[in-house]
Amino acid sequence: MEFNSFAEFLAMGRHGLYVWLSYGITAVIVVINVILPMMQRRRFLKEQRQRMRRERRNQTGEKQHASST
Amino acid sequence: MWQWLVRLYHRLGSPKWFYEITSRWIPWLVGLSVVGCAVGLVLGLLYAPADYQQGNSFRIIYIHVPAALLAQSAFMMMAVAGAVFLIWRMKMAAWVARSIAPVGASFCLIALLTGAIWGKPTWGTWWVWDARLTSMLLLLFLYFGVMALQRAIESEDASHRAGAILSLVGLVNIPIIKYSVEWWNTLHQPATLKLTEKPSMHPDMLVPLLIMIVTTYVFFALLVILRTRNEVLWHERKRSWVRDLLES
Repeated sequence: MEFNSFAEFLAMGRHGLYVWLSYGITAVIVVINVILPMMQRRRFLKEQRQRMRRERRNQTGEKQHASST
Repeated sequence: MWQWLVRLYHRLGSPKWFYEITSRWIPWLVGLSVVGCAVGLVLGLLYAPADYQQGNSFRIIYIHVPAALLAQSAFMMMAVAGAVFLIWRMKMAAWVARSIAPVGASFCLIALLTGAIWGKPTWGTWWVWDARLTSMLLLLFLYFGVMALQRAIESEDASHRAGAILSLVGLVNIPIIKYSVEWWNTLHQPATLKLTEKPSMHPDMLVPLLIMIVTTYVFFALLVILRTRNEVLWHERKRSWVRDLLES
């Protein structure tokens, strides 16, 4: 291992700021890229299930209406 | 062989087949990404020796180089998908191209930002208008342009076509990025890895880099697949197989 202590690892010589800033920004962009499609999928499933329920309700509603008249 | 290729092409064109096969791939891609990233970063950050000139700031290479390579490959893949859509009108290809654009742009942004941060301790400046940096910035703007076109026009078909054409035109920039460090006298160092030559890097530095490059491509495949599956679901939402999926 290249570092003798955790503090030394964090310091990265004199370059800790640059190294960890790079890795931090990358981590943020990566996480956003994972979360966005997952959120999009969840929203799609929710909206479409609602739409299907609405359609079914309308259909049964029409049938009841037809039988009552 | 030819028949096999034709069959593969028809299957790839089938959204339902794509959705079903990728359901099985996703766990493997997630696993490979996590393991590859863990191994690559532990080796790169903890075990690779510090660079004799740049010290520990060189460890930025393990994200910078994979991201920059991927940003260029992704653009080429997007252009190929666009060409397939233009020539054979394959809708799946257009959805793949649209899924690649934001992911490729993200990696291009990572390459630019980590490059700027790496430039500060190495060159003493965040940014210079040299050929490599400028052509990479142009790549980012090309990504933005393609993304805008893919979503801009009322008719979906026309916006896919416009996006495909710009990505094909934008291909010109790819060899410029690659050879910029040779054609012009730039501040950016020449390529660390060359396919035709033996690597000059120490194996302890090189192995983590190779692991990170492969992992980045696997992770990219995962992100594009996740987005393409959403495109498939949205466009096929009235089909019975998606309705069955929603019922379950």
